[in-house]
Amino acid sequence: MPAHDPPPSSLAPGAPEPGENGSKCRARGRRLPAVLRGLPVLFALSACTGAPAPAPETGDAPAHRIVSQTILSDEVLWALGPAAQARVVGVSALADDPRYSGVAGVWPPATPRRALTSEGLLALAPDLAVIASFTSPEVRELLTSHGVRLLEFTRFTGFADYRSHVRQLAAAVEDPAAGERLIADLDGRLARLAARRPAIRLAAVSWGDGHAAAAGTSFDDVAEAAGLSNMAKEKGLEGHVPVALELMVSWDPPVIVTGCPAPEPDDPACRAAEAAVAALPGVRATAAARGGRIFAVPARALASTGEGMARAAEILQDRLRAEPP
Amino acid sequence: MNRTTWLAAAAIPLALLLSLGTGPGEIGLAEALATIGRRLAGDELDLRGAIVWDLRLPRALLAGLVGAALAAAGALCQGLFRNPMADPGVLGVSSGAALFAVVGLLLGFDRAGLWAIPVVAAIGAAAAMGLLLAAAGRQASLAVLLLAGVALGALCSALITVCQALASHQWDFGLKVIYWLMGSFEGRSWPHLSWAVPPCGLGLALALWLRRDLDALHLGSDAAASLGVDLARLRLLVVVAVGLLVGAATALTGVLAFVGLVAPHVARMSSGPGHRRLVPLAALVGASATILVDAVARSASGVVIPPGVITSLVGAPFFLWLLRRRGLRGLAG
Repeated sequence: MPAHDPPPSSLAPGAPEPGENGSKCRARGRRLPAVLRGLPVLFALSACTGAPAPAPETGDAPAHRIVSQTILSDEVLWALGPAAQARVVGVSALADDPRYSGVAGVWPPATPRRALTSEGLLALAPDLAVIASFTSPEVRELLTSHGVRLLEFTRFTGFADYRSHVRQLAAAVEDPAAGERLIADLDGRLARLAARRPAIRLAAVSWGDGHAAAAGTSFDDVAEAAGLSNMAKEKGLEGHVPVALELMVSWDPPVIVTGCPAPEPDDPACRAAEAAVAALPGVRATAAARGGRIFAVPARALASTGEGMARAAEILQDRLRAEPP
Repeated sequence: MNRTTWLAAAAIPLALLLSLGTGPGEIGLAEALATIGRRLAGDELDLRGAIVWDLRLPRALLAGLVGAALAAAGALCQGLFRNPMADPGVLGVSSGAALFAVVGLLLGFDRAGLWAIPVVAAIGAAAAMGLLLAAAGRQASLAVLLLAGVALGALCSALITVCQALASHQWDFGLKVIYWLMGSFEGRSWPHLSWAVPPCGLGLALALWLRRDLDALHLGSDAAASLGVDLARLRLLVVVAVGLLVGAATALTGVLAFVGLVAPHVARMSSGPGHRRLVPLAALVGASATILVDAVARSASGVVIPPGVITSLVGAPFFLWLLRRRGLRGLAG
């Protein structure tokens, strides 16, 4: 990464010396407090570090040193293949967390895992940072002021957004063909799901920790792909919204979907998550509990905004098809 | 019981009726009462019946019990410290419960069952109470006890922040902690009520038993001692009572701010400073107020407003109004 020279103005010979102001004050018989006397030095230091921001590049220009700060980009960059992986200089701190990440333990240990700290990111000297919507404005400003291009994914509403994100990252690593292969693989899985949809389309509510996934969420697409309808969307709700337990129970959902902290759906943690939902007051009276249709899906698939969405749909469809006729 | 106490007692069933007829499930009071009647007669309940019997009724009763516990604990603290600004939080017991609950959530104990976090939080409350007594010592002055409680609360709050910072990347954990710290009756049912009754019952009984000694203490430490009050024993018993009341309430519902501070002041407006009437009246006021707050929280269909937020939103301005109207000396009675 190129070092930034301090701007000439801060070192200009004509600039007033810190001592000049102090001398004037002493001439009036008063001493400035130490903090005030230090202010000019602080201003000079801040001018040194606050280099003028070069205009960030825009568009899908190629990138050679990519730092990924979202799980989605960790997953997609890995899936794009060795050429893309070679350009990655850092992945997110969550990349190895099996509860959220589909590439846990996959990236080589030599690839740094980075939290969203400005120093940690800048130390990797990236030319492209894939950031999240919750990246602080200070970190964004610092990255752009050092010439790092930012790629921010802001929409995660399902498969269409996933395709868009894959194409953007594939363009950044100059391998659009690899991106199209990923998308073709996804579309193939969705076609297989569509061919196996159950005859009766049940309504499902995705509910956990007092929140439901309504319209405009990835679950909406997952439910559709699995052959379910999204009950929270049908109730006119949008986004991930708080839904009181009483309200959810009063809907009498035929299917309740919840997340479980396990890598695979047959893990005992998923059975425990189903039992925990069934044990909530009032839930045992719902059609879902009576029909044995409280389904726990591994959180990394249910909460995924990438390939995991298809996995979640496959898990749900398998559970529906496993029911006795 | 005088007229005011009777009125306060009558407010509780009214608040319960309002609570039973309120909620996003769109079940009216008449249907709710009919459902309870059917259930008591041994009938099996359908979905709407389950909403009333498993959700609304137990959480309304729990809200009443928790409100009474916090208000009685507030009256005890204000009496012990002879300070109208004292609330149950000053002893650090609720902070201890909150810290253990947050650590429990961080370690994923909540997946073990509904009982797990309340149990862990209750252990935290007990640990905080033990630490407070050990740190302050049995013969410590009230000032030492108060400062030790404040320091303990600050330590617990700092450790909660450390937990949140360490796990800031786990958004589900962050969400759980935020909701827990805001206080809520969401999802609480009969098991929670059955867990709350023994410690809260014991704490309330202790609070009623200590009223006469607190009245003596109101005259000053020397006067109380000359009237035969064992001050060290009184301090210990008040701390134990507050620990039981606040520990159980916080463990089961999270942090409900301002109930323990404001309810005793509302009661004092009618009862005066004497603890013989103040403690039961404060408990009744706290119970009905908390049931009402929970009903208001549930009446907002489509959104979930934690009752702890409403108690703060209502309690803080009310307390400021009270402070302006009566002044600090007036609040002390």
